[in-house]
Amino acid sequence: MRKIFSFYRRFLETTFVLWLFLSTVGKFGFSFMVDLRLFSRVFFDIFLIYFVWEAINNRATIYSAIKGLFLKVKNEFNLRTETTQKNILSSLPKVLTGKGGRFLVLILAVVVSSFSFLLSFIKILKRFIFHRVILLLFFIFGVFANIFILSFTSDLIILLLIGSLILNIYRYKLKGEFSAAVGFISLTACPFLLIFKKELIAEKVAIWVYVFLAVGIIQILVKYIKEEKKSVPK
Amino acid sequence: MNRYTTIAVSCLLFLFGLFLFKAVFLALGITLVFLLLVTLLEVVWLYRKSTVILGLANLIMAAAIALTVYILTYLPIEFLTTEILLIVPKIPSLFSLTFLLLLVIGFSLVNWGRILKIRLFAWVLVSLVVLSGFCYGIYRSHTLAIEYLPKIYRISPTSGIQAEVVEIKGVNFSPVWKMGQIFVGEQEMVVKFWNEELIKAEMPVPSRFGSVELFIIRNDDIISNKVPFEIKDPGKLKN
Repeated sequence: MRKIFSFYRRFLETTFVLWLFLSTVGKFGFSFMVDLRLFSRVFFDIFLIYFVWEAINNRATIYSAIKGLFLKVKNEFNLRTETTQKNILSSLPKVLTGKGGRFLVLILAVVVSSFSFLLSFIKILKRFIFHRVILLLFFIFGVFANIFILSFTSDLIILLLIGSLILNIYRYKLKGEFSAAVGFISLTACPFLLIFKKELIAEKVAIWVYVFLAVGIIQILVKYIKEEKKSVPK
Repeated sequence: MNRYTTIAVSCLLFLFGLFLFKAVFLALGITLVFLLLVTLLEVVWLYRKSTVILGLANLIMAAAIALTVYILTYLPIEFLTTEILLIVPKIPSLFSLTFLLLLVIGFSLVNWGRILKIRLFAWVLVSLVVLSGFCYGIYRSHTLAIEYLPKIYRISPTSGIQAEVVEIKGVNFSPVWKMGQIFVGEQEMVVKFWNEELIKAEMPVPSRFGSVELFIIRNDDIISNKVPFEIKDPGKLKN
């Protein structure tokens, strides 16, 4: 079974390589009599089967991970509720700490700890969204989608992607030369896109070439000014 | 590649691009692509023994061979069936995809790294890839050349008498406002219905009986393929 699974994975990977190639050359008008939409759907189905198969194979690990996470969250929540309840009770006058008062305080503690749990979840989510790898992937896929998938040009999307580019540069400490090099490399695609009459894609690539070059030059300028300031004797 | 060789080849490529396209921008584009490829190849060559590169090479090889075999087998058959013999206007897209995926299944099981170590096999595979490239080029040029020509795939009935309506099925007959002519032998038929893929026409009074050819002359004077049609003598028809 394990051998079959490994063969299946290799088949999936090869299918992906082929799908990628056919989709790319398809953009330049080279048809191989393969319906790419159908191919994409079939590839997605194959991937789904692989995903389910992988999940079944690792069901013990997944189950224990989910169970562990659930227990951890449960314990944390209980602990928080108890601590909050104790804190509230200690600040209340003794008259209000009877059976009924304790019950009401418990409800209040549950609400407070749920709220604090939500806040920590948002914090984790924020950390996850602004994680450097996620940011980089968002930028790369965003640019690809903007160039090859979307059939319109949206200033808002470009602005959002430029923002994520700047964040990426800040997080990865990328140099201006790097941005300029990416711009130049993208520039090489433009003539070929124009030869193959892909004006819209060429236009979008040209926008990104401009963005990369502009960002790169600004970075280099900033670096130059900083160095100038450093070298000037006080 | 040696640094000086790369520079020399880049300069030559730039000049060649300039000669070919007569535009600096395009020539520069070719040169930059060449430099990019050389750098990429050098990086791949540097890490050629890493498992990632080897695994990736195996996948690319399997995909390339699957596509090669597909080009050398399916595309000629498809071309023959739809463009030369005119059996069907189009083969269902599920066929081509199923065939391609079957090839992928077969070739993804092979360890290409081991096979490519045998020099003879390596040369055979490279030759096949090159051959498939040529084959695809020929296929593409021919497909583009005859893609929009009028083609008759089927007529019904294949024989008839005076005033009989013949149904002609095919592609690229041109729209109804650019109606052409239908000939059976040297005689023109009377068009009853016309659209891009279906024509219904009535047989005229025949000048002679026997086997003739039925064809369409489009509005732009392009002639379709000719299909055999038999004009029957009503006097010889049995009751």
